[in-house]
Amino acid sequence: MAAAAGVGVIRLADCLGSPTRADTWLAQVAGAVPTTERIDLDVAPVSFVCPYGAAVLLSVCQHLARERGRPVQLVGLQEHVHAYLRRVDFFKAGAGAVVADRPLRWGVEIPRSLASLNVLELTVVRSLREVYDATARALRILTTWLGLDAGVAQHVGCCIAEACENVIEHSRDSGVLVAQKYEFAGWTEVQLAIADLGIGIRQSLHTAYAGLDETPAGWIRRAVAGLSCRGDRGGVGLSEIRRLATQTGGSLLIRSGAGRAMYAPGHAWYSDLQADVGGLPGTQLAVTLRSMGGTGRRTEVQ
Amino acid sequence: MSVELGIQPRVFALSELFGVLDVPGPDLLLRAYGEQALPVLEAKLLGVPEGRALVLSFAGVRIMTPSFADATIVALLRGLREGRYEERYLLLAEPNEETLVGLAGTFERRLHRSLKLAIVLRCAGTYRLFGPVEQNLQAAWQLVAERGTLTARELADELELEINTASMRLWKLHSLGLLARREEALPNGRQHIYTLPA
Repeated sequence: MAAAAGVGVIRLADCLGSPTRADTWLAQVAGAVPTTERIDLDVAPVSFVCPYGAAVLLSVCQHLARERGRPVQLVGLQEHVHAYLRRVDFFKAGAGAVVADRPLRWGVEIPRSLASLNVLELTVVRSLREVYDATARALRILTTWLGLDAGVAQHVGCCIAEACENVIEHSRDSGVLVAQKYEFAGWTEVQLAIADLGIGIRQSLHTAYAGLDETPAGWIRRAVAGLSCRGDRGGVGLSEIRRLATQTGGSLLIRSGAGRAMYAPGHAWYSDLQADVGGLPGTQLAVTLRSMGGTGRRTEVQ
Repeated sequence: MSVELGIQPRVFALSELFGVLDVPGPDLLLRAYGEQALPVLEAKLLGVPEGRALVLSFAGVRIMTPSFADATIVALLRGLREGRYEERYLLLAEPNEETLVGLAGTFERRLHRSLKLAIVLRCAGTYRLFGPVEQNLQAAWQLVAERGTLTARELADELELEINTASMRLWKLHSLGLLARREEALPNGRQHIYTLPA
């Protein structure tokens, strides 16, 4: 890509607080990236970041940084958002790809204390062993520290393992995962996000099923239904994640290139970007799992 | 449906796979690790005498993910169905509820791929069927489990079936790997005696 000199600014609305809003932003930004050498993301309006929002923001920064050979700068970060991003190791996972325009003010940093253990920090996975370790760590956090019911925690662990294995096996890239627990009156919710910048579902399947003609969302639908580039030996991961998530009353959102699929109990929605917009490379997942019986209000650290 | 039996089949502790896979445990995760584990499990299964069962014990295993199960248990069941391991059987012992939930999903998907899978579970000393097994076959299996042994004639008499129907039900359970059988010579021919795999 021939980049023009200077700085291009992408302005965000307050769009990273839920998987749906973050995905809408992702769809919009895909067709509206300045062709400048440097990119600044103006995130001043962002007041809340969900796990998928963090994963998507990181993926966009990594993609833009790869294209340009220099990191993206986040400008205008609100202090509590900046503190949260540091707490979830956003800048550590995005080392070399994203920087903040100024350091976090002294005293604002969120301590890694018991009060902020609702989070599994952004964890980069590049190998099977890293997936294994990340899953084991997530389970430890979910059961020991978050006090989640063992069954729910194991659902989450399965989702992490299945999704991250897809990253390692199919995307041909490294991936990142992050999780956050929220407590609402009446239920507990764990939001997971797993993202990579690899070849995406369409290309992964197209290599094995060249004769099939599908829309980007159609490829996702087929992958979730069990189609796998490994033939009859694969096709378990995404369908299991869908099953586990919707079984708890939660949801699964899958963005891969120009395609998007959203699953909730009893419902599925598919959509594609306009034909001339390619979308972000790779695949990004937002998984929401719910369990009844939670008490109190949100206890996230933002 | 569950029964108590006093048989002691050969047991392989799945927790031994942690060392084989060079992972700390207590989880069995990922298809790729499952594929590494499969040859070990195949060797264990082939090490069991023909006509006998290998019991895979989940003691010490916290989670087996659906992909790992697909690459190991489903692969073994499929191999048994295709006759690759001769007449041997597979049982699962003490899987936790979460593993069973994952396994149910894995089995369910196979329904759409012309491979109905089911297996015998041993939990706290009792045996039960797991997987999509038709009601009439379940009833026949239950009778075998209660009595220890059963012939087609006995099943036909008990459930007031035609002998051919009874024979077919037991044969189906045998071909699904849910019942073992041995042949017995009679003055006027031969008959099969069915038992739970052990």
